[in-house]
This record gives sequence, structure tokens and C-alpha cells, in this order.
Amino acid sequence: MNEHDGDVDVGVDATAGDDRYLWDRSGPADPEVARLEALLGRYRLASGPAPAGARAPARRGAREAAAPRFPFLAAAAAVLVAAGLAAWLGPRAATTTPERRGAGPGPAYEVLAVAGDVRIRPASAGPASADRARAGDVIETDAASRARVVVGDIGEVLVLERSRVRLVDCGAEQHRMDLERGAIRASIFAEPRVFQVGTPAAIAVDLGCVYELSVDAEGGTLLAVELGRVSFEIGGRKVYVPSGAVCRADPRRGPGLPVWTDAAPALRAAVRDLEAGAAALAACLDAATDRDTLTLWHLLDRLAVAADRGRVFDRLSAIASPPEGVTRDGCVRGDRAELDAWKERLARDW
Amino acid sequence: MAREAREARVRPMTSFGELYERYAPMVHGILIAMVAPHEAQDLAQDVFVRAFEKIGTLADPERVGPWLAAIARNAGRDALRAAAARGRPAPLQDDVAADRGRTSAGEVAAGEAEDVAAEARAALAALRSLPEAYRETLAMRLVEGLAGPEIARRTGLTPGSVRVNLTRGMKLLRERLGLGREEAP
Repeated sequence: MNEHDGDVDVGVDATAGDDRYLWDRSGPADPEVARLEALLGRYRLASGPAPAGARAPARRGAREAAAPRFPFLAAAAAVLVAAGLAAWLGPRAATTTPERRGAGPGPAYEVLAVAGDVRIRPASAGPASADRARAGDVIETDAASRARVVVGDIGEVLVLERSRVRLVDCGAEQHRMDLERGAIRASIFAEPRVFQVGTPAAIAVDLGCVYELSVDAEGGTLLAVELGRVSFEIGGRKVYVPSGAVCRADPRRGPGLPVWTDAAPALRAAVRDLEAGAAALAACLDAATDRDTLTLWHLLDRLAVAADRGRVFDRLSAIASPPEGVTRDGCVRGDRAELDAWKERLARDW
Repeated sequence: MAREAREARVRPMTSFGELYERYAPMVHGILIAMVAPHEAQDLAQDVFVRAFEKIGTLADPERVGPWLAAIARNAGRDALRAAAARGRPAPLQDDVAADRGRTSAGEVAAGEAEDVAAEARAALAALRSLPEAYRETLAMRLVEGLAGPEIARRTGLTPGSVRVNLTRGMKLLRERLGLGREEAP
């Protein structure tokens, strides 16, 4: 029995009757709980975006127009951001040995060797400039080296050993690099979609903030998100990968299904089989627990056969009732609005 | 793990827009179970500033929820100690004053508003009288509107623990408010 199954037993049977409404608002509404929600909701923290100054560090020109809701916090956070970022970036490493190259026009990223020798291969000849890389340049590490790339004012990318990264766009409004081999750890504070990493199998679109990408010799990509969320995309397909989840992408098939890192081995195996083209839908549905709505929703979104989508809908709806307006017919038909509405509801728990 | 990699993993947690959006209701829920509503709002901001200052001490990014919760509890306790040292009224009395102010400003239209406000104060006072684990979890559910699974995800508690806290806390809350739900046999 999984943890969630146990929870249901505890909540419903052992303690206080049918408390599903108290637990997750499923089941019949408990009028006393509803009354207390209405009464105590007056004390709720006002919803809205984070205080502007606490979005660290803001891009140039971004959000200045909006007055911070909490001026004190904004000011304090701004100071802390500056201090924290300075400490974070630390002194420039003396061991960096980039090729001397031209200081061409356009924005550049600072590149620091945090271990070993890091090579910066320029896109073209030009005046010499140390420790900086521009669009078109390639950053390479070997078995003993790592590089820290300061991505404008929005964060950093740690290029791990045996990796090659080609900078595509170092602009003020858009940042894009391609991971051709190896692995990186991206730590980005930008607005969603400002920073993107291409791989042979998919594009990782940063929705903020910490994730690791690795590319194997065949171009297969593994994305692991530690905090925040990433949209893993290719063509029109988007896979939403939140904190605590991983997703593999294949150069021929694109991103697969996201799975929690602590998902049951049986589910992970079934997902791998499914992505390899095996008939593993039943195994996937059997292995999914109440927590695996992330995988199940993407499965529902992915499958081409209506009957299969119906099976996934039934399994998913048994875990989490679809919101009003989301129907079995619509989901089986692939209605984008209904699927997205359900995802939006489910994502509150992702 | 190399120190550089560890730092790279921890420091990016200063993406506070993300942190605030996700954890502010949890932090506020913890605080409002301890201090007056107007103070809870201010302290919630303080908690995130403190977190910003101490972000480097967070070793495991996956434990950010429990870490923020601990900062919030400490902030609440500090505020209670400071209030006691100053001889200030108990949080509930502050609530009464705050609610009276709110009523006079925005809810004058009906005498019923004061009744509702009084009922809300009573409910909050009863909630605050519960053991810590129950009152915090119930505050996140009833005040902040988080569902049980969301509470578990944010606090780092197991869903089972959260559900037990909710059901047992609600049972106690019903008793203290004199509510009359029939328990299942």
C-alpha cells in the first residue's frame, strides 16, 4: 500500500467519518467546514505576485513600472540580492584558460573556471578578450574541468565535466544556449521563458529556477528539476516538469513523460517501456499511485488512441475529480481547453 | 559533493518570486495560528527576508518548505515574546481591535457584519487554542484555503500526518466551538 492509500484509511475510517471535504474538498461538502472556511478566509494572506523586490534579481527594465506591494520588503530584498549575488559569484578564478579571442560586439557571458581548464572556442576571429563568451562561441570542459557561466543578470549555468555548450543568444531579453554533450546545472531567476537550453532531443524552457540537464552520446536528454519548473518542448509538444520530477527526451521522439524522482520503480519502468514503444499502458496505470497525477495527465495528453485516453481518464479521475467543465468526452477527444483546465487544477499539487 | 556544486545548488534558491508564490500561504498560515492577523502579514514578509539572509544555510533544496516553516515558527515565537515583554495584549485582543477597525471602515452597512466578525474572531481564537500541529495545519486549510495534499507538499509532512492533523484538529475545533456534527460510528 502506498503512503496515500494509507492516508485515506486514516482520514476516512479511523478518525472522523467522511472527511474528504476537509482533506481536499472532494466528497460532499461539510457545512461546518465550509462555514469556517468562509469565516476564517477573511484572514487569508492577500493573493498576488511576490513583492517586486523579492524577485531576485530583476531583469533590466522589467517590473520597474509596478509599484511594490511591500516597499520595506522590496528594499530589503534588493539589498540582499545585490549582496548575495556578489558573494555567490565570488572572485574570478585565476585558473581559467580560455583561448584569447576577439571582444566582438554584442552582449557576452562571463565564464569562470571552477575546476581545471575550460576552453572557449570563438565563433570567429577578432580582438582578444579573456573569460568571456558571446553568441556562437562554444564552451568546453574536459574530464577534470567545470565552468561557471554567468548568464547576464539572471543567474548562472554550471557546465559540468566533459561537456560542450554553444551559446546561441546572449541578449538582454532572451538567453539561449545549446547543450551539445555532457551536463549542465542551470540556476536562473528570470521571468518564465527568458532562458532556454536546446539539446538534440528537446528545448528546456526555464520557468524558474534550478534544474540539471544531461545529454548522452546518442543525444538522449535527461532533465531533473530541483526547484521551480521547466517546460520541456519540441515542436508543438510541451511537457511540464515541476520541482522533484525528471523527464527524458529522445532525439527522435522528443520529451517523454515526467515522473517524480521518488515514484515507484514499477511506474518508472513502465514509463520507460511505454516511451520505448512497448505496450505498457496497463502497467503504467497499475503502478501509478495517487501522487502520480503528473505522469497520468501527461499520458492522457500524449496518447493518440481514444480508447487508451479513456482508460487514462478513468484512472486519473479516480484519483482527482476533473474540475467543472472538464468531461471524459472532451479529454478523450483531446480538447485542449479541457485538458489544460484539468492540468491547471492538478498542478496546484505538483 | 564538491563545494562549488553544493553552492550552485543552494544559492539559486534566492528565486524569491517562486518561493514566495509557493510558500507564502504556508508561512502566513503558521503565523496566523500564533499572532494577530495584522502582525501575521508583517511577519510573513519578515520571514522571507530572513530566509533570504540565511539561504546559504539551506543544505537540501528539497527541504525548503520545512526550513521556511521553522523560520516562521521562530518569528512567531519571537513576536509573542516581544509582545509579552512589552506587556501588550494577547493576540486575540489585538484581533478584536483590528476587526473593529475593519468593521467600522468597510462593514458598517449591516449590523450583521459585526456578528460575522465576532464569529470569525471566536473561530480563530478556538483554532489558536489547539495544539500546535493541529492549529497550523487547520490554519493552512481553513484560513489559507490549501488542500491537504498541498499542505503536505509544502510543509514536508507526509500526507498521512497532515490528514490526521486535519481530522483530529477539526474534531477538537468542533468541540471547542460547540458545533454539532455527528461522528460516524
